[in-house]
Amino acid sequence: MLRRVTAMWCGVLAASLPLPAQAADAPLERVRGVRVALERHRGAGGAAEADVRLWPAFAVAVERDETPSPFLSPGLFRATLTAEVELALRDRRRFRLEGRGRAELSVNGHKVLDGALRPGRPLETAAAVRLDKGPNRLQLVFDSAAVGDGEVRLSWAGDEFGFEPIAPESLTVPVDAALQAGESRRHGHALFAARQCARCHDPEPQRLGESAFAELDAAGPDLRAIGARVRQDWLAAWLRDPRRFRADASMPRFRFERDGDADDVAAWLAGSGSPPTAPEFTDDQAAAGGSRFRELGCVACHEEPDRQSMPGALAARLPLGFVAAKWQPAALVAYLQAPQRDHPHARMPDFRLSREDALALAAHLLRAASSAEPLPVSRGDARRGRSLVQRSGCIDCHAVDTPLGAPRAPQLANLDPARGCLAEGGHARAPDHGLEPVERAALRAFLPFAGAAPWRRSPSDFAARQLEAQRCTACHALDGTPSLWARWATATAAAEPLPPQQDPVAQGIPSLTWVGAKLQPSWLEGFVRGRLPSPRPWLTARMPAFDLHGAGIASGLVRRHGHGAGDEPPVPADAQLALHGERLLAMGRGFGCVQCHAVGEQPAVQVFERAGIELLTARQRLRHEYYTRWLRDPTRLDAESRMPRYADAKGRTSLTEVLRGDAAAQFEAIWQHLGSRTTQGR
Amino acid sequence: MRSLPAAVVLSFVPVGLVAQQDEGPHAMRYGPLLTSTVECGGRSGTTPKGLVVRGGDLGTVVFDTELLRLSAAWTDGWLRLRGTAYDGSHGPMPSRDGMPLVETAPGPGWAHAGSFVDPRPIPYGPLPRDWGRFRGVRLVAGDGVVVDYEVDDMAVRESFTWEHERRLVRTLELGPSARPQSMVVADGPWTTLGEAAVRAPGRFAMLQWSLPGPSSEGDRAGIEPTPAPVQQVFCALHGEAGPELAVAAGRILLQVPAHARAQRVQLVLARGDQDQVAAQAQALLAAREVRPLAIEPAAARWGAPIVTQGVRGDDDGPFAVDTITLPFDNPFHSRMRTAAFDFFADGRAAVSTWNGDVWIVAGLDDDLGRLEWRRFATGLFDPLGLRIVDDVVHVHGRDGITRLHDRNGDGEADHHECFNNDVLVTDSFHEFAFDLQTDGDGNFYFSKGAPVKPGGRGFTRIVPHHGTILKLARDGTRLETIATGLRAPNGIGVSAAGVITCGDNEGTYMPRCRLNWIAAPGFYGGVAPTAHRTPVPAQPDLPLCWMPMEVDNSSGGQVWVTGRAWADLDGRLLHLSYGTCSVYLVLMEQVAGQVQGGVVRLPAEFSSSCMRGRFAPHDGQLYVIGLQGWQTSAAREGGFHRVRRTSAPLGLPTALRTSASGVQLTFAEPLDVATATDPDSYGVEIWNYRYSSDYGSPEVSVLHPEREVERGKPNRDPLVVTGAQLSADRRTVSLRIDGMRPVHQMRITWNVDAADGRQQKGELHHTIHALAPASDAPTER
Repeated sequence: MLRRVTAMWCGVLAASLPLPAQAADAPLERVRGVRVALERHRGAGGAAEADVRLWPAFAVAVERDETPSPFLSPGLFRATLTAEVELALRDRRRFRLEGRGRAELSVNGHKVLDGALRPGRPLETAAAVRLDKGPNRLQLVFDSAAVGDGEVRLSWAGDEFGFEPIAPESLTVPVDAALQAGESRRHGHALFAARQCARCHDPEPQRLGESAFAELDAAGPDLRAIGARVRQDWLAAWLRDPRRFRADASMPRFRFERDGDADDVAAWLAGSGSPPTAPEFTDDQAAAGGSRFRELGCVACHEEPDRQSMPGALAARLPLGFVAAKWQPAALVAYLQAPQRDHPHARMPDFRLSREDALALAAHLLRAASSAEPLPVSRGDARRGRSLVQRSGCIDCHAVDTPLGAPRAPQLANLDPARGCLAEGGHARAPDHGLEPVERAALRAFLPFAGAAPWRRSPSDFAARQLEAQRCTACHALDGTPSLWARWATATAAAEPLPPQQDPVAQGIPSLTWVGAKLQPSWLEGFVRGRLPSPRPWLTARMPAFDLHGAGIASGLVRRHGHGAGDEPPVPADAQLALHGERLLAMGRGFGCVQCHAVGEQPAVQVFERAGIELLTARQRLRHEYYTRWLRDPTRLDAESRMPRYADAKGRTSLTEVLRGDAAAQFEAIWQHLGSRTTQGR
Repeated sequence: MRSLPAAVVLSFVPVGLVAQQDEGPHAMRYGPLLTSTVECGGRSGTTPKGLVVRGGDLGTVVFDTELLRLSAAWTDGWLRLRGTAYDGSHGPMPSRDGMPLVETAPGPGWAHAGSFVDPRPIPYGPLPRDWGRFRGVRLVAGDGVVVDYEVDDMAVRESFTWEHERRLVRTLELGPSARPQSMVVADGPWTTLGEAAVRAPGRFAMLQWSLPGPSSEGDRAGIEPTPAPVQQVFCALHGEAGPELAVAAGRILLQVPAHARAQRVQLVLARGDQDQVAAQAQALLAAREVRPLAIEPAAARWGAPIVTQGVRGDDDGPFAVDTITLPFDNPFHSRMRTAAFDFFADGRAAVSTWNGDVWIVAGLDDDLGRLEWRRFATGLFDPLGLRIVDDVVHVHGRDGITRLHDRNGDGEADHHECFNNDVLVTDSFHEFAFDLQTDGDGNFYFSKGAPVKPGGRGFTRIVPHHGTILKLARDGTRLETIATGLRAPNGIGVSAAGVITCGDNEGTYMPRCRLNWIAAPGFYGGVAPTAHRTPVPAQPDLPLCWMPMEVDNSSGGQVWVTGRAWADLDGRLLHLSYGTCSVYLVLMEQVAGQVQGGVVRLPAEFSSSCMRGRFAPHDGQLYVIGLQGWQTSAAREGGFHRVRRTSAPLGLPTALRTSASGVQLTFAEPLDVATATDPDSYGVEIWNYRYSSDYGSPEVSVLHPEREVERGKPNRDPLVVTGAQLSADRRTVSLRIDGMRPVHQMRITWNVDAADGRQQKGELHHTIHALAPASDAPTER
């Protein structure tokens, strides 16, 4: 329950705790994050609604028609955020609150800020607040604005750094029963969506197709020509036990009437199409495919079929030893190029592979998996199989060429949490989802909300589920936790030298920690959906397109840092400042930004180790406040950044002849100059 | 004479790359010569140490100071200036920008005992001394350049002049020689020549070959092949009888019989593209007087000094940083990327710049009100090291150590004397020639970068001096390797006792920046490809300390405090950071024979990087210089600062002692008892690094080595400070710390008050290789 969610948002437990791998079943005392208690304000007589959750930051953002939690109906709410931040040394900090609504901040039990928040009018402590060495308790109480919307963001500043949000990895919170219950509900919500429960259990009176972010639209692959894609033996084996091939399969194991049923269904499905001619793969293709498999980050989600499984978190990667037994070769190539063609909700993301890459990867996979133990030969009665498909509920999730059968499962509202799929020890006739006890408990905790929660728009919750479902953290670090790919690289490099293009750290795959605070929401959405080119064209890895859920994921990532849906309002243009900015970019008399950064069509002068992002693109994608924070001290956001720090602790640079050496003014001048060169300057 | 078959591939292709002469690196006026690795192309290939002599707009000569050959000469242009020091590109070097006239293949320019076979084990470095030796170059009256070298027992002086008919005139003064000598004048294309001939016995020679024409295309198309164009190089010999031209094995040679008295000859070279033998022979053989070489030093060419005004820094802290304003705006467009410096006895300083200048600045007095800058020398090879010995400027460039003399006393160097050029250099962009220091005996020390590949990871071809610290005997005769396994040791320090220090930069095989303490020769820094020993040690020798990125991400040199103005830090070591533009005080201890310690940042801000530091004899203050050439936080291309110790309290710890029970920090001034004895005033965290062939290292948890965190995020374990005691003089704090152990990195932070009430907040990053037994606390308060 909680462990699962901490893995989702927080990844690494507080240093005082045993590591997850060491103590999987140990009770948790503290976890990383912020405890957020949510209460729905009701008029007299209204039923109380409350929820508690774990969150990475002191930030809340809710737009109109959204809710801060799927377990609260939309409307006025109060959020109480608490966490401890540990200081290595007694120190002083200033605090600042921004947003819309009303907020009150206490530090170690003393109220330090209290008041109404309006855009552009932050609350700020008049004097620095003393913090103790060790843990310091922060509590932020936030009341939403008039229609149940609002935003709040907490930042702090010290002698050595300017205002910035408190890094997620430095916040911890004790675990209590309410938090555990809230996280369990969320776990259940994620399972409910992933296992597509509402496909079989009619959610009337809600409509399946109207769930928030269309999350319940998810269905299985189109089976109408599956015989052209996969092999009959594999179909039979999959039907017998999907979890033999992937532990987190959405497809349940059906309890057929007799052992040959799976063979019959496989026989009918296999007859639905004939495989296209297999391409002739070459040794060169297979070798290239092996490299591409690593360079594209396939290793982050998949085991290499010709390598041994790896321990720890890497053990959860999907094995591919069955690939040759499953796929018709030509269909595998087509699938790699367009994974969503026959399965719009396939979890495999669309890497927009060239045919050359797809052929190489297919060649590599089919050869590497060729030595796997063959599956039993399956022979069955296709006519009987068709009948089974009609009777077994396959059509609830799959498109098939056969008349609809009658619904078999009870409606959602009538579910008994102790029976059916959720029955302890399984039910004789219900599909077997292979649920662990903790998962069954989570689903039971969620069930009372199942008729409402999926239809409430809570982008932050949706994104949290999707970050896991889409495996974003396989390639990206988050809140201080390295990506799976990075862990793979560390483990692999210990045994064999790894070329930089196979190492996500060497390549500089960006972290997701600040992405919602960093990027303009419109740019972020366009990029996640695959509609914008990568700002890092030098990467051999590539960001797949997540068109289906990209908008929801992007809005959730933005809410995570307390920002609303809209792009940041543009900073008014200042032509005079822009003139200074041009000089400041230049080599020699300026900071020499052009040394590592291209500007428009003008390439970087001298890239060393790692290029910088083209600056006109940067200007369009970045939030102004993040840009300022980054320039002030890049190493506070990325300790290994190659970007120099130009401002000293007093906010001065050594280019004293420009704007009197005032770092903030100089950075603004560069922003203005870049803005004057972009067509959509903000 | 017959035409040749079109069989010879000729690489003399017009370059057609006309550089923008008034932009970028071409805007700078480099003077009559420039020393560089030069991609001459064709037969001459790349010349690692090339003396590029510019003949106005007429032509350019590249003289190979290692092989004593004229590598190439071309007309109608000079150089295409590419490379890290010029256009910033990583990989290419300056290359020919003109029409080829004459080339010689890589190999000795003069024969030894009749042989031209290259005697060197690898194709880098100078010829053996008994074969020949480059002595230097003189700038002589009339924009002339005279090259001095020795061949066998024969002294040679040579100059290059150009005539308007695209003719190159080489004038050679050959000292007496007891043996016959032979010099390569020109090589033809790669394969055997079609024809070579000598006419006017011994006085005129030519090489002739065909350029590849469109014949093969014509053959395929069934069309009559067009005749391939013919190329010719002509050479005429003038001067005293005895020497003769000869042609052998596809090359023109100058044969010089043994001679008891000096001889003077002149070679006139020209190129033809048709059958111009008769006309060229007539022109080139036309009688000419071979005059003695002018060796009168050139008159000053860079004009009156440029005056700038320095800026005194604020005196409100323990250190005031004064700016010695550089002449950024100078009429020569010389880029003031200041790389190294030293002081003359009279308090003036000589400053080298990355693009080959040495400037002399006068006026380094208290108020810096009038700084006079004189361009003293130009054309040096990326001189990132400079030392003044006996008031003679010695510069360390990629070509070795050069002494600069002002023979006529006009304020500009007119003689670049080669002090030692044994150092090996390849065409790697990253093979920087760092620093130049001397020990108490006058021996020289400098360091060499490893040839990092463009992009920063891995290395290109390694030669023996890559990634080393080298020691050169005070008389310049013997070069030896002191330390190996280094990556980018941008600066060294030499103590009075002869201890060598250097920094090194995170990269391949280098987990983090490290400060090395090299007490004895043989130190190994960890970069396997530059280990230069077999077997390669499995582990590097231990550094004095490691430094995290935020402290130092690209190290500079070190300097020992010797200035009287810094009396409270006299004898202490300072470490400079190029990347973070900082100066650090090094706190050291010795435990079980191992030197270890850490660094504390001095409160001083600089406009450019901190690469080299020296204490000035005339005022006892620290001077720091640096440039912006690769990744750094430096805001300016160059910066020269004086760091004045004021009368304000230092506010820093000045001594460190670690033990199994904790850490003792001795502060410069007494502390407030209440805050100093509060354990909550201190924070301690530890972490490790991982030594591997990877680029850098993540932080590795000491207490939970299996814990992985996002790269770039701290992975540190706090240690609990259980007690803090203060010594009787209230300067030494003894911190009792649970879990003391050897660690790559310990960070100690403090927030205490001084006895006078001022807040003292700071941090120390240090390394513990070995722990002393639990120590007794100082007298308790």
